[in-house]
Amino acid sequence: MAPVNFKYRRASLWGGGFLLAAAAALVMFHSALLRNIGIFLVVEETVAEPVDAVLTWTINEKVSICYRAGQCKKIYILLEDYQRSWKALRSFDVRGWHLKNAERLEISKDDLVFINNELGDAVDAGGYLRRLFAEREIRSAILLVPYFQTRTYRFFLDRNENWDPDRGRIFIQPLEKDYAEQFDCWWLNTGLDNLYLDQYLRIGWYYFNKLLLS
Amino acid sequence: MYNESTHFVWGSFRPSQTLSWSRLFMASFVSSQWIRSVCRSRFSRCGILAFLLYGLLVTSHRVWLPAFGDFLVLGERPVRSDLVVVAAASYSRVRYALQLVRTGYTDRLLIVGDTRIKMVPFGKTKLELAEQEAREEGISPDLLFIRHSTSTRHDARLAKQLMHEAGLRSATVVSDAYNMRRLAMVFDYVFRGEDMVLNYVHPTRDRDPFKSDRWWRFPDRFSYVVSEWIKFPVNFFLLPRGSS
Repeated sequence: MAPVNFKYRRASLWGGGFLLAAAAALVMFHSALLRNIGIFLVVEETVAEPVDAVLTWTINEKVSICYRAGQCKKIYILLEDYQRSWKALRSFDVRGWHLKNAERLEISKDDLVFINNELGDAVDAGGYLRRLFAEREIRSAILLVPYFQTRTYRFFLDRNENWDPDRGRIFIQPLEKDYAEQFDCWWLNTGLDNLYLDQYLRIGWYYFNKLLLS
Repeated sequence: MYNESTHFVWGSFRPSQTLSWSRLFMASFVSSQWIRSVCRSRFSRCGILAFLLYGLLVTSHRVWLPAFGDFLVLGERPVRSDLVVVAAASYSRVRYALQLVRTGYTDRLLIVGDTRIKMVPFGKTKLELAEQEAREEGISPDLLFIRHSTSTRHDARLAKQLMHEAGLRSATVVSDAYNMRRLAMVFDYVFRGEDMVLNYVHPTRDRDPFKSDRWWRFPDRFSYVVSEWIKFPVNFFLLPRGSS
């Protein structure tokens, strides 16, 4: 049997070696690791059959692709209330801007539905979506949100008691078509750092309050 | 050493039995023996301690958690200064900075912001919107300074550079309440050794007592407070190294 101090020294050596190897691996692979931390935030759910609606903040190429591929019947545009925001936005003709975009992307005006955005943040989205689905008799929809928020929306929708998955299906997809390049060295961009950290912390908020039993 | 005689057997006390003082005494004695037997193992002791600590933290969280939010807030009264510095990240602070200019606390306004991130769906940056609003408020183009910035340290450097160029001696820095502690640390570091006076203020409505005392209940506040607690030590250690 080995003496105690020898066993202790051997354990320390193993521990130190492991830490050193872990640190070296972290330095070597930090780009890939951090890139995957960013990519983890994106959820892009595949839609197998056409849905009743697309819920979006804006009409862009992604919406146009869905529409022209016959994946959706109606496009619901969530109109923001800018009355307490920047003055330039208060007087901005948001509807006109959306209609112009729709025309440019060859989307029929008859298939556009303007509704006030009461979605709030991802935490409260379930309740609003349930009401919307019931009022408009929607059975399935694609929800387009900024790419870095897709994971958070899915996370809270799966845990929201107000959302009943049997009443309808929601497919979450990124609003942007090209977002992959955003993950190249995002940690060197303070703006993206803050956006991505915020999403992780919002998910953390759920667990933190569970831990506090509140 | 583990003693068989002190080992508690749960089956020896049944709630259905008639409760009397002697039985209660026996039950408490046996329970204490059980706790003692469990506590003999270091692993169990640690587990019990951890459980007790968790219980204590959970039951008292409304007492100690607000302090984590309060620590970040550093609010001074607005005073007359040569320049107001504000980052265009949030509308409320820009409005407050414009209000300070309108009410005569200062004449000059420096707005800093990141020009790389454009707002959906308008394709404009917040810095552009802030500039437009400041012009509409009647701030003279000679007294309005717009700069691209990517971090708090960058903001501080730009403010210092402008104050040097214009020969200004004092500045009021406006930001959100929870951002104040870190912002003051960074600005004080960048302005160290300068004969310039800095004053830190935040919009008064940021200190909504209902939300401030329960910041962990609101996802946006939770995210703000925790991210500041992450950035504060990071900035503290990186500042002397010159990293932003």
